[in-house]
Amino acid sequence: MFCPLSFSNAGMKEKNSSATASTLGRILATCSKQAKDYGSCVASKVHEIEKDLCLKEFLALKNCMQHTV
Amino acid sequence: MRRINSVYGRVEILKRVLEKPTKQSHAFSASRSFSTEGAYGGGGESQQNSSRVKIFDRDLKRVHRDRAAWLSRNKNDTFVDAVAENLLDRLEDCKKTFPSALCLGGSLGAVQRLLRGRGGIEKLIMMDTSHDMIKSCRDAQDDNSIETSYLVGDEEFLPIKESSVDLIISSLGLHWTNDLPGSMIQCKLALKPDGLFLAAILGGETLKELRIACTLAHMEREGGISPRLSPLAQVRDAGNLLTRAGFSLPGVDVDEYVVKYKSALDLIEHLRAMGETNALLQRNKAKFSIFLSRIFSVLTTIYDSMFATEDGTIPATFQVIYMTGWKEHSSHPQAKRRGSATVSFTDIHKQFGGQS
Repeated sequence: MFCPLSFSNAGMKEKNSSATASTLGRILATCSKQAKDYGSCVASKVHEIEKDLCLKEFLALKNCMQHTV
Repeated sequence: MRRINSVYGRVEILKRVLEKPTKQSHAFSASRSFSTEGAYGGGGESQQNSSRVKIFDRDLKRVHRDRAAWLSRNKNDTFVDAVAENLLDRLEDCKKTFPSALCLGGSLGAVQRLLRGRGGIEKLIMMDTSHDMIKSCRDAQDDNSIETSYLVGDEEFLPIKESSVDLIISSLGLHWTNDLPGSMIQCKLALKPDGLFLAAILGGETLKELRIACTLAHMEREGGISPRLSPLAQVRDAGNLLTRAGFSLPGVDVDEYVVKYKSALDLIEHLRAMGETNALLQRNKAKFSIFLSRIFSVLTTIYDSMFATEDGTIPATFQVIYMTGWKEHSSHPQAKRRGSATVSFTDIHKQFGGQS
């Protein structure tokens, strides 16, 4: 059966991308508290944003995400 | 079979096969020396390569469009349909009919589907850089009253004979060209006199929330900024682009669409389905997959917390600039010669009272 190679590749791409998207969505849903803390930290410091300004919240979020997988 | 009479210099013969196979393979030539730097009078290859600015990676864009053809095969995108509908509506505002039309890449499927016989089009050429996109358009063709041919080609090297089409439509495609003035000039050359050019491109206000969120995420995590959104034309540039390309009676109008998503991830999914993801040459290639990148996970959280509305959805702005232009023809009203006025403004002012 003729199966165009480009379509099959794109199909795999879709599976991979939607798999990672839903994984990421799932992880962010479990870590919603840490995500919200990080988001509000950055949102409050918009005008003086610098590197690692919200490092504490980011590490908490990273910790949560790595332990969810 | 089709030669472009290039006024700018050398002509290169390229062999490509059109989508509909016929007995002989159609060979046509595309002039590489079509460019706005034509003042050089057909300079050498090296001169052209160095004078052309490369902002976008066109090969990557083609790959994006292949994937977009797959992702959007069964669904109708309301945003893209709204833009295409707006564009095609303008055909009903003209008394003229357009027997032959060319549709350049962007949302080809939407244009083909929503055409519904407007503009009196009898012969339609669909062109895109992505083979898969063309294939899915051909498979979706349900209206056999219009003779449609499909072509894989690049908007920057338009393989169309001069003065051969009445109408050129491009819905959300031209903002990915490296040389937008050059593409528009080629479009103008391809049009017959009194032909119409209709285009919709994304403008500078598009995705400004995403731009802010990307900048903040990058600065907080990495301390610097990397370009993630393409440079987009401003509204004031659109008029200049049309006059520079040589269109007469130019018209520009702007529409802003605010699309709501459940989360930033949905926005990214939508962008991928439209084929509008990042294809800047300057993008950070070290980050292999955007989903694994540290920046991306914080990007979604920042976007959601900064721009969330009361009902939990997040908005994204899309500014669409619609451009219309006609190829000059003797029937178009011309600007009057300076000094040929017969009535002065002071007379008009006196006539209609002293209301300032």
